[in-house]
Amino acid sequence: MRRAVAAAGRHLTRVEELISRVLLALLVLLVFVPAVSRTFNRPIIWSIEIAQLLFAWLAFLGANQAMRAGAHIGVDVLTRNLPPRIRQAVALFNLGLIAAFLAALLWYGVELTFVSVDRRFMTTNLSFAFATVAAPLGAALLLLTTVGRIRAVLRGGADGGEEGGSEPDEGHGDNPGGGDGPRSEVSTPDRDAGASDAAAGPAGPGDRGGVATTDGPT
Amino acid sequence: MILITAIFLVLLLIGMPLGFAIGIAGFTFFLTDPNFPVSISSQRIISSTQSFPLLAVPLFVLAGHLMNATGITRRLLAFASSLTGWMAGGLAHTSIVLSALMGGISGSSVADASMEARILGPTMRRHGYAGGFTAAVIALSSLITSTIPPSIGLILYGFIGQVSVGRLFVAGVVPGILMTAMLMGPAYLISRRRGYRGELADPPGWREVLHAMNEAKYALIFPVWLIVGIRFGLFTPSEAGAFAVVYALLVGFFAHRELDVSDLPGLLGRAVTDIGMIMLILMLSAMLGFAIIVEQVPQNMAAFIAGLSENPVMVLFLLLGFLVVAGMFVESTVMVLLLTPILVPIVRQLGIDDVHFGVLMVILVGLGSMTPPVGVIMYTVCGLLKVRTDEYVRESLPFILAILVLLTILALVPDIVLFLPRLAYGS
Repeated sequence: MRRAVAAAGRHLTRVEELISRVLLALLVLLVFVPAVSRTFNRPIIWSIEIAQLLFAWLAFLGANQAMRAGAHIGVDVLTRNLPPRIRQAVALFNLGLIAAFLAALLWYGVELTFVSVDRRFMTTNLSFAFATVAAPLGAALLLLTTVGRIRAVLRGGADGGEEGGSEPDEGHGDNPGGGDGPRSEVSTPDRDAGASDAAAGPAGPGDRGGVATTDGPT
Repeated sequence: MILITAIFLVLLLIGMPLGFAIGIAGFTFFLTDPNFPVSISSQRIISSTQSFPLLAVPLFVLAGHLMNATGITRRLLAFASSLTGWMAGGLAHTSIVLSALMGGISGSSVADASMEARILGPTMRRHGYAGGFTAAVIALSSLITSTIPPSIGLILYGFIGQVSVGRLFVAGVVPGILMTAMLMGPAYLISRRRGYRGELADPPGWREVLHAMNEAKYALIFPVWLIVGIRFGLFTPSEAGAFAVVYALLVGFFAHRELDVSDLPGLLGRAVTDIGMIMLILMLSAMLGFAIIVEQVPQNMAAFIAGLSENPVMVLFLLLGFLVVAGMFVESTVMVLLLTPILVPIVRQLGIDDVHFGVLMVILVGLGSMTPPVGVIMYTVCGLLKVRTDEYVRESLPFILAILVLLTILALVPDIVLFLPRLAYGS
């Protein structure tokens, strides 16, 4: 059962990574192509709206991946030197509050989505709900990641509340398809690897965040 | 508003990730204010993404990752080294000049600092540069990268404050170049005193410099092309981001032949993570932004400041002082997102140019990420180089001082910042 959940989590992660990369590539095309075609007096008016709509999705999927990669950093000057037990309690408090907030966002996001079904984009006449649904969906994904992190803190006992102190994405060790998790270690200069060093607390052994942290030591 | 501020500060201090600290604080506004249905909170979050100018952010972030993978960085490094490698403290100058050159293709100082900490840091240590000095030079010089266009900070400021991003870009050029010179000053003096010698024995001949320049030509023309294109309306700043991506792909595949199709998924993935990090903060701060407007914070703040002084220069320095202090505690993206809607109306009311103020503000909040207690770039560079923070702080003081001197000059003489945008766009 646990294995099945873990596998499902990994699949979800891979699908999410794939979709968000495709979205980003589409964004480039949707902005680039009309800019070029405009020069040749063939304006494409619908592409900007689609680009903005997709951007809402990209923003949430990206936010979730950043959370799994431990890139959402916070201030740890005060909490860094606390005794481990208290640090764990603070981390749990933070994560619990984040989870509650995301649950509220999920709830009101669904409400908003139903309200905005009849609202239309100007030129494409698409329902605005296609954009608003990104909020509850993103909140749900972030909530899953947060729950995974809470379990990791409970199990590991070490730090872990500090997003930045976490291990790299768990998916990239055993990720046959991609092989290039969002934070492969042999990275070219990039900011996210640096950012995780930034708030580097002692990364405990159980300190793996992410959807797939449901794979317990079985 | 007091409750919201208190919640934000408490959450920040107990280590809550910034985006969520802002989001939860902003959300309490909707929970406590009976005039607005709570579902407006989600609506603010979504509408904050529905903006064409904002698309410049993901596109320039992706372009930055691609440019790094095309071999442009290595060529710029060789060029910077041929220019400055023979001076006392050659590698320190190389780091500073490289940041300026990178500034033309990258909009993020964190990306620049972590890149330099990786490829220049170890070399500097091997050549006998002190760890703190190495970290300080690399961290502080990355401020040039976020000042010279394209700049994510300036895009966000323009987006929130309704200021022309084209003008802001042009306005960033001269301060960026001056900053390069200002940072090289202390680097030279300190290197002379400590005997850090250049890694080249003699200045290279013109031919060698020109050769290195020719190798790096695609990176060097890019910023010129960017500014000219935006100025003459060939593309908007967002479209410029998409062009930058395509340009990087063309250079990587056909000119330098260093990019491979198999690199693309990984590069896209890293860009997605970076975008997610920026966008979570941006989206969740939209709720607080709404509360700030509803509660008329800009008006109240303006009235408060008007009570302190009516002299624009005095007020400008008050605001800049406030930014220095606040910037030490809050991450720079957050500062720009939250304070732009508050400060821009105040500044305009006093007759201070919003382009002038924007450049000063973006530099100042950027400086905040290089200073304790909270500094993303400081932690990044010190972490990568294994340098203790206190060593870093001691060695960074001369450089911080140089930047503050420059900022004072730029604040007192707006024309230094503004003559170029006036020349390009008219006044």
